[in-house]
Amino acid sequence: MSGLRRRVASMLLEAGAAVLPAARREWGEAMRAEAAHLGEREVLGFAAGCLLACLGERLHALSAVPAPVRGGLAAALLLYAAFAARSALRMAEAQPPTAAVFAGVAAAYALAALWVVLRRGLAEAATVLLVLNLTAAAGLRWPGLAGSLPLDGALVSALAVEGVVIGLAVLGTCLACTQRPAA
Amino acid sequence: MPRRRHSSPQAALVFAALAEDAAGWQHGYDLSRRTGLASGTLYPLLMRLHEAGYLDARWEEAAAPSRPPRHAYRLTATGAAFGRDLLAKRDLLAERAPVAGTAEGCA
Repeated sequence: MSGLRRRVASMLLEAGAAVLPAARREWGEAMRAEAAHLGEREVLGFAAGCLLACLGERLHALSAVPAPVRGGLAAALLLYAAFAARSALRMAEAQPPTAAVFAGVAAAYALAALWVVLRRGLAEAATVLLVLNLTAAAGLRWPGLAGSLPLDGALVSALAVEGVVIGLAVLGTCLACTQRPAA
Repeated sequence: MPRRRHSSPQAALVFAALAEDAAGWQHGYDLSRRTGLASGTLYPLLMRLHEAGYLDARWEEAAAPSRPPRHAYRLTATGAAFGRDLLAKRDLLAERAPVAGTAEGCA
């Protein structure tokens, strides 16, 4: 191993191999072996792609929950989307910017439910919701940002925190459903 | 598990690249360059195709002794047949597209 790029690539590939489901472990080895045959210029991009592939595989494996659980969680996401849409309608006249945020949230949860139903990607949907809400929650805590936006900051912040909790709860359910007892 | 039908445009690219040298074994990075697919797209596809029985995979000793063995891939007979079918369907669709465009233009 030599060169900064190769060292970073090696770290990315190690991380990827660590998150891969056990049944896919050989593929992690295949990616690492392939990287060892690449030049300094291409190895980093290759390794970054492999890390994404490994994370995707982990989420894919986590999404393999029993159908009733998946259906129940999709229904819960849809219900949440309906509540957010109703709130958006109620706020439309008094607080249009905050209503727009609620409408966006309703659309995001409805899309997530659709993704769960059509692609069975429960963990993928939960991760996207989690990242979006974490970003929003962190952004609203940025000094001066919340005050400069024409939004009900406390309400939108609470919505983001709620989203983080929902995302974690869904991922936790996926983990609980897919974890097998050690042999 | 999610349904995967292995007939996406990306899968077609992989089938086409592997079919070019159906008897030969090909490596991940070469496939990535030839298909234009990033490793993040290519490897999940290779995993699915292998799982579906469309792809054989084996470890090959490296030419240089200091390098580790390399994972190599080629289509199975089932994979080759599926790939031929898929590529033929895509060719048909591509042939039909300009005709539809012309008809629209005339209307």
